[in-house]
Amino acid sequence: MRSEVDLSVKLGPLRLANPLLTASGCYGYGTEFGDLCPPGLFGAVVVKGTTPEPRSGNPPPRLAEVAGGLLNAIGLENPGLDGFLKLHLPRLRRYQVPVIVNIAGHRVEDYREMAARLDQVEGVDALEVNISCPNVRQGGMAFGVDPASTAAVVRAVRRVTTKPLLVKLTPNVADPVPIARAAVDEGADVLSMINTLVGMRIDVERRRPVLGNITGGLSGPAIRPVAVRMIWQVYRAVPAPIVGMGGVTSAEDALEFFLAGASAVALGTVLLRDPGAPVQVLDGIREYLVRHRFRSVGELVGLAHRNAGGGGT
Amino acid sequence: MKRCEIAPGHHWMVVSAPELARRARPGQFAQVRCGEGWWPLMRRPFSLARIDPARGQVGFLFRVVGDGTRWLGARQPGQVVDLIGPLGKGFPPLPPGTVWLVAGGVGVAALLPLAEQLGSRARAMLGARTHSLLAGRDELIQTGAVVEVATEDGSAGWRGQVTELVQARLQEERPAALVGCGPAGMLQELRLVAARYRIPCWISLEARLGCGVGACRGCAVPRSDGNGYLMVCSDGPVFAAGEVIPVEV
Repeated sequence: MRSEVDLSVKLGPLRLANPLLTASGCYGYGTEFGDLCPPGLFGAVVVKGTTPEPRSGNPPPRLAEVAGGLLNAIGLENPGLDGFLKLHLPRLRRYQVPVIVNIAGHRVEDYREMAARLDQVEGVDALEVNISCPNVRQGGMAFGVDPASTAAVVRAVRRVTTKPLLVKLTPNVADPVPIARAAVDEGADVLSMINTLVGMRIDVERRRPVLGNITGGLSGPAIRPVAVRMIWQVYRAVPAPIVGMGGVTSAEDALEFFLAGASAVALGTVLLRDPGAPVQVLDGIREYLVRHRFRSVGELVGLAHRNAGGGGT
Repeated sequence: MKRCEIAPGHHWMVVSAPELARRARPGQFAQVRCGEGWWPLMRRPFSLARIDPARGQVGFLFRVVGDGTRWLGARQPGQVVDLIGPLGKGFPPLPPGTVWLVAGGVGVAALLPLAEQLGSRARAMLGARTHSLLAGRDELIQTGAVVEVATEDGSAGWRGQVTELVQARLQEERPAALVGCGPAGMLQELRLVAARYRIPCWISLEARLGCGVGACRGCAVPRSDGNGYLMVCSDGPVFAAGEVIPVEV
């Protein structure tokens, strides 16, 4: 039975061996987990957010748990584009898995420069334009909450690279559709959604915010329904493939995302708890496809829309 | 898995994990799942307090401080514990001569395998609020180390902070190295003492960890030179005392 099921997916111009990606930030540069969770398990690896210059990140504490979720305020700690290309990319390339580089900046120019340089780099299969990091004052979210700014960034990047472009959207907006549309109109090939939701916790004993950065980005199962809803909305309105993320922990979660309209899903927070999750998720997807007589993940994408009736958005 | 409460709210847990026991070195830790549902979401890091490759076992000494450790402290013999390890860098090779191991509270856990390895070279000083909380003292004595205790209320041994005990003993002799594990305040004090007496010193830090392998950059600790951060999980948990500024978790 197994051989009849095709786990490979088409993601715009990308063809991936399976529908699992890593969510940027949770999987570092692909090699940290070693045998616990090797890059080869994934259809593509999306590396940690990379900025033009090195960044040391936010003061600790950087993590705080909530029921079903995790707040983080890492602050885009990264070795800068040069550091990434020198230290991390060569090691990651050995795994022969598609590499997607997440780029973040605070000026349109930052994105343009990084994209122009990465365009020339062999072993970089696509770029993910991060206009949605909530943890850095100038971490891109200012662009991602406004359609015109989103358009400006995507346009600038599109002009300087022929590599596939993913644009990562923020959930911290009333309606993601105009922003998704702006990104696609300017040449985004794929939409990644969603980044984290801004939140915070207060330590009641010390009577002060838990996180060094005061606010952080909420991820994990707690935000999954928000992700499903936003993917649902964008799938209906914008003709671009979607990588869904936000609290995917199991095959059932992944299937929910496919049915809402995602062509692939990314695993993030779950990897911190269960580095073995990708194997279980893939097994579960395979089992579901067999049980329901589907031949590929592609057949599931957006299928729930057919059965939605007339209500809602 | 076997477990017993060795002091109020303090548990000693021994787990059969042959592969882990074979590969682990003193100073390393394991990430343990501490719940079945989505609370707590994250694993909890615990120092390997016993590394016994002959029996294929590792041991943990932990204090109940929240829902995760409460859950772990309620595990019964024979139950399975989900753990990942060994993680982190262990203790580096220490200079020849006597090594003083300085522990605050459950910080003793990280120092037990080191005491075992050092044998007669180790001298241990263990501090707690009161005598009933001196968890790990018996285990330390079993390693053959000379053990002295300090309690804040004077109910056993030296009255006061363990770092005061260290300073008093430094009037009498000088060790080749100091190694500490405990609360940030204690480690901060210990690194100042070590610097004052020019004694090489290493400290093992506690932190709230994310991934445990250096990927998520969640467990940052400030570098002493002001040049950004190091990660407790992958750069540590053992650091040269001059390298980092311990922060309260």
